[in-house]
Amino acid sequence: MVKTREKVSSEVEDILGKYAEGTRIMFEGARARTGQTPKEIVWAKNKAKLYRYEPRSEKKHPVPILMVYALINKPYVLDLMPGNSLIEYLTGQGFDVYLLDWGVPGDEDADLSFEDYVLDYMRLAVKRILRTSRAEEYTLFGYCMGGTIAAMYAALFPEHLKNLVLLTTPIDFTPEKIGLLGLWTDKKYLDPDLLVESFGNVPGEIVDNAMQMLKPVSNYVGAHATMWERILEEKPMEAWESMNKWVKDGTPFPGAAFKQWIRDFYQQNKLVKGEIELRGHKVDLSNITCPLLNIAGKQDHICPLPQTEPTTSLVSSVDKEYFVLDAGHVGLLTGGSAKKDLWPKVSGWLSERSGTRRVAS
Amino acid sequence: MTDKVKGRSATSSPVGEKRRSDPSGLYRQWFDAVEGSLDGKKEVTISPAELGELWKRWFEATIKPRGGAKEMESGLPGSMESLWAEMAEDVSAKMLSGETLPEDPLRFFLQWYDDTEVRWAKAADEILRKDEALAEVGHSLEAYARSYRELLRVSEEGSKNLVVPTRSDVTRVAKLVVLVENKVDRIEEAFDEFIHGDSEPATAGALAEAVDNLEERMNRLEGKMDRILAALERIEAGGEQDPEASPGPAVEKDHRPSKESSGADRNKE
Repeated sequence: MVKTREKVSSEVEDILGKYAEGTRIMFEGARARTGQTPKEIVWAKNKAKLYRYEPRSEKKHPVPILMVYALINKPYVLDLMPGNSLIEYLTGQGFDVYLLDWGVPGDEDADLSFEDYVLDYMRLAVKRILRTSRAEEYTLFGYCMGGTIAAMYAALFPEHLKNLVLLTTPIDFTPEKIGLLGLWTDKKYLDPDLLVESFGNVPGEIVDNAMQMLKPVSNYVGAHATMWERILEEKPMEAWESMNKWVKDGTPFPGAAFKQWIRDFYQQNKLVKGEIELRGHKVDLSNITCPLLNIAGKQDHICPLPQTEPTTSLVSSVDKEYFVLDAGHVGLLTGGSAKKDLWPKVSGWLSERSGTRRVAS
Repeated sequence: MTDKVKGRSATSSPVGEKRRSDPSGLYRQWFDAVEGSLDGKKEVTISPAELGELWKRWFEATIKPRGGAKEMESGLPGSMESLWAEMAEDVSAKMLSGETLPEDPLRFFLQWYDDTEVRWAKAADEILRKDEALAEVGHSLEAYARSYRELLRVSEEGSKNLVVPTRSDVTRVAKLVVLVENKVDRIEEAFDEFIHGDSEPATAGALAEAVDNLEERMNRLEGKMDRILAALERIEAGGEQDPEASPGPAVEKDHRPSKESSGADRNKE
């Protein structure tokens, strides 16, 4: 095999260009335009904002959807990029979609607890969407910890709630069921009080690293291996960059809520025992009677199947479905398999249950 | 190229510091070859055998010293150490057995990662579940939190001495702003409820209670008026003054407000 000088020279230039691109991403971080589906802010409280997405087609379903995300990371994973966005897809299917973005808490928000989020923020946001959409009922869609918040809200305020969709939502925190996170949050090894006393809000980097350390090889090495592979094979980088940007774009966990999350949920598993009380209101999941779609991922290591499965039996709904996909915590929501499996499932399930009369104007 | 490369390696193989960072001069050779090809001054040809030889030397340079340094790296968990050596040997054998050899080090790394990822992930998971690892992570996090708290305390003290607003000062002000925002939110909500009629049950309840209170107070007032009028009538009729009708403690005693009525209400009356 003999290569001419010109050929080698051009190959070297090509490979150096690719090396430069990869090195730039590794040092500067992924750059991507995320959350591009057109939207407007219809309500705001403190750092939280309620977005309403512009319909991309004629509105076919009068029941609006309120999406609730976790207190960690940012909710644009639900609207990652054009062509890879659940929100974009649902608006295209004629749904009226809202997203409650908790915002980035500052030091002054370290006292915010689940009481504030469920009883104040959620309650007001729901009122606002019913009024804005002139609807009498709504669908609540919670993802990850947002699903836990949504389930608690649904149990406390079942009125007006037409459907509940829970996506990879941790409900049962029995230590044996939650894998590595159960071990890390054991009170022998983790003192939430100390973290909150020291940091106020628990820094996003700590939470991000904890999540990534659940699968350190694939998260720290594999993610970059994929990046280099895509660069070398000259594949589009937008999807990888937007996902990588999101993974590293954590938000601080408000101190008071963090303490509750670790102690009441992870360490004492109070939710399934019916022992969670928010300002004296006991959260009883059996109060949920509306149709429930409970979705989980077989390969989810953040919220494993045994953590999601009991929800279906804890609620009193007659119309309920436990839907399991062969995907991970985030892979289930975005990418090729999500477009093929999850999105049509959610849309189809909701279409059958989103017909209701609207409030007369 | 090989001769030139070998020649350069033999003659310019660095000593001291340079030797530690590039002990066999392999990276130097690669960069020199790239530089030469870009300058167009050198004839660049490479055969698969030469490429294989380069990889062999790379393995020897990077993997074998690692085995020798086992003692120095006793911090690395044993399972990882043996896994590293085992996989390095496997991959080395595979690469040198005549299979396709990637010319690019990155492609080589990717191929190696694909072949070994599952074993690495399994080993890492096993380690992370061990009590010692969990305790170590817990201690590290605790130490980090404590040192951060101490750093914050010192910096707050320093800022106070310099009469510079501290982070907690800013937080206090921000908290006040949030409280004001909350009040504005509540007013806005009340207006919204008023406009959209959402608060009908609550308002009706409050109104009913207010009307009841008013009625009770009026009844008490009427009672007092009746007594005063009765007393006046008696005075007009020339009779003696009814002690019960006179203003003063006795009146207050007889017309004590009900349990529900407050002292403030009495004063108002």
